[in-house]
Amino acid sequence: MVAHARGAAWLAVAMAAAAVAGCSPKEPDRTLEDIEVSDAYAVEPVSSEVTAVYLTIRNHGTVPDTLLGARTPIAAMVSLHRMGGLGGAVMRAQAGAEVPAGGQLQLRPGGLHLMLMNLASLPHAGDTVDITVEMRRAGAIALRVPVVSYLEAGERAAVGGPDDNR
Amino acid sequence: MVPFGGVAIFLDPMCVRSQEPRRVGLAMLLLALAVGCGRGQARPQAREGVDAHGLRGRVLPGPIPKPDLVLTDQRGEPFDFRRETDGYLTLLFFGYTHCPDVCPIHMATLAAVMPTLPPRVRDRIRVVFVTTDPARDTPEQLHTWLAHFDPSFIGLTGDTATIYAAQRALFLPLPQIGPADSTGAYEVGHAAAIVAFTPDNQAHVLYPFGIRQADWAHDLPTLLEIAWTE
Repeated sequence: MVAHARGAAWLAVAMAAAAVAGCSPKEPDRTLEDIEVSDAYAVEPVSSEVTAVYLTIRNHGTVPDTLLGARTPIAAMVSLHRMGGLGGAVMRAQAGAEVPAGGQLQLRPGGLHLMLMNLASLPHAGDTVDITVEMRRAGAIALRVPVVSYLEAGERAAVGGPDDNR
Repeated sequence: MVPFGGVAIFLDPMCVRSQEPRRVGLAMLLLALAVGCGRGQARPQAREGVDAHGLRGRVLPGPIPKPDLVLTDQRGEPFDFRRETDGYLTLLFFGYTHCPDVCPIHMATLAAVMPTLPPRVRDRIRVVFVTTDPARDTPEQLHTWLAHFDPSFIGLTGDTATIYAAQRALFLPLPQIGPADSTGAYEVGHAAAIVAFTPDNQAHVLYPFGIRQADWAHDLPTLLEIAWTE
């Protein structure tokens, strides 16, 4: 419940930021309003080499959207990967991941994740990280996400199995 | 849609060729478990007396002996897996230190549960992390990485052939090295399950990704109590 409330708080930040960044008053982007990001978090990295960001994207609209990728000041490179196959441990780079109309896309440990590589700083559990996710239709959505330990990420991952999107 | 390309690995003839039928059956079961698609479908046959313990891991239909595995540990010393873990409850995991989630989550979860166990249980457990990426995972790299979790965990590296042979012996899918990106980084596919060998030096239970602290806290003392018989 705490995680959910925290997710909702970050969502508010995200939506406000996205509204400022992406919405033109002349041409309101319905898709943007339909996209809801929640339960976003980053994992406290062990080294500067790699960490991951997870989140849930809900599409309340009638048109599918696609998560294309993300950028963050703390990583030189961010890519979208899916763990799959061998018990959730073969990673495949993904060009994008669809958020179906009326559906959701979950990024979670053992499934889809945003992989952050070559980290410029090492955030600790309790810190926050700024990350901007790119949607094909909704555009850029800026988020400020909490950093959790691998232990907490594991506890979150276990709910419902490794990947519920398929 | 084929959800992943790793299927070919499961069908790797090296994995199943020249095994007698029972072993092939076991291999297929292990693969099903490793894939994680067998939730409620590929449940191993209940083994008499074991089910009563309510283990959170997946009980194998038959035991698998420890593989013959001599590698180099994180101190740079030779490590004979069978000899050094003889009689211990041994948790064996194949992974790599550049892994973004499955490996560090397994290690962090185990590291968190260890201090909560009574010393008489903890002292009978060995956690062994074998790299599937020996090119990058030197003893120093393993030492640094494992120290983030629990310095008592054993990290092993060495030649690929030895590591692959151990995984074959356990019917685990072989690692798969991904293409390098512009920075030279690459990914390594590997089995996500931890293999638990009980003090009889046989693997009886598999712990897939998603296993939690509470599950380990329940199972580790129990694994030591069960009188495992074939």
